[in-house]
Amino acid sequence: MTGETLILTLFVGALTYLMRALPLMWGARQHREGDYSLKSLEGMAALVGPSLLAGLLAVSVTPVSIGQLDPRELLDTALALVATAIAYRRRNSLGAAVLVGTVVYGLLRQLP
Amino acid sequence: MSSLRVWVRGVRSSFPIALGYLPVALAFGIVSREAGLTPAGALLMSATVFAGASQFALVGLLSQGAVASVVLLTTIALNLRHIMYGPLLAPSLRRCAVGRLPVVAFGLTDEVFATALAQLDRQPASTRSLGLLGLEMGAYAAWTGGTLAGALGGEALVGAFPAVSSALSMALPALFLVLLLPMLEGEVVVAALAAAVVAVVARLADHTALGLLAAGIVGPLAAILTGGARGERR
Repeated sequence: MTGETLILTLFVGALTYLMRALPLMWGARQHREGDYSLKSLEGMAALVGPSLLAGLLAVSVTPVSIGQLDPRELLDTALALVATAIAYRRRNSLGAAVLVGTVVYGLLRQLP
Repeated sequence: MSSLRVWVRGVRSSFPIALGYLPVALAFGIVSREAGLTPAGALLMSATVFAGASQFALVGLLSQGAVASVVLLTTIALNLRHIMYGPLLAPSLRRCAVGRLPVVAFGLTDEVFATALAQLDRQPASTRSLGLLGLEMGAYAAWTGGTLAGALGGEALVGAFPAVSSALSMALPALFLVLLLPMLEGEVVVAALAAAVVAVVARLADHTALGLLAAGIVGPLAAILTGGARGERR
């Protein structure tokens, strides 16, 4: 690793950390000081979290371009996610559900 | 419950994240070697940045000879959505010692945030930060360990077990789904659908990071607007 690469790596690490830490500490301070302007945003905040989760889920199953869309892979992904949901419904265990989804997907991908 | 048990439970809850991180971390280790980094350099990058998208972008840009300003601006664009994570988790961490907040902030990746958002409020307020620390440390160990394994012999590993690597790519989508499922009721369904559509469109247009940021804004707006159109009170 060159000196320039090392410095850039440390800068990127510091920048990433600050973008996580500063908002967290600001939010915590607002709550500690009983800032009621933040309270008025709680209704909106209750929707932002699930929206971000849905966005993360959607992105994690979408290829980076339309040209890479593979119907077979999409079907396998959908079936694996259904298996995940069923497993979670039955076991109420996050780890078990993720494992089931992973195994189902792996098996489906091996089918001719 | 003792502090050790709380922490251990946090580490155990990182298992699904670790499953998802391993293939990505392996891939990063391989890519970083191809870009000319040593295994130590790849490990240092994962240990200090701990953000997959930023790391892949950093290695890619460096190998193309990009200037520092481009690298830093790209990092900001890729990480903008993280700005929302802290304020969303802050209410759950209001009893966290002030000195511990900067520590737990380091590990706020997408997957840690998603898990914490869904699970923190189920734990006693006094132990949440310790449980979160355990969650982050488990995820961090998988990320850095996977990077080192990838940098040292990743191609051989993937070549020997291609089916396992392919299967593990489902771990993160499965994790996001089970975290989201319990939240889906009422207007949250509208918000989630709108957010997903925005994120998919942006992803296909090669603007994944901005799409996630937009999802966090468009989703709630869609729910509020449709709820307002139906005249429902929130």
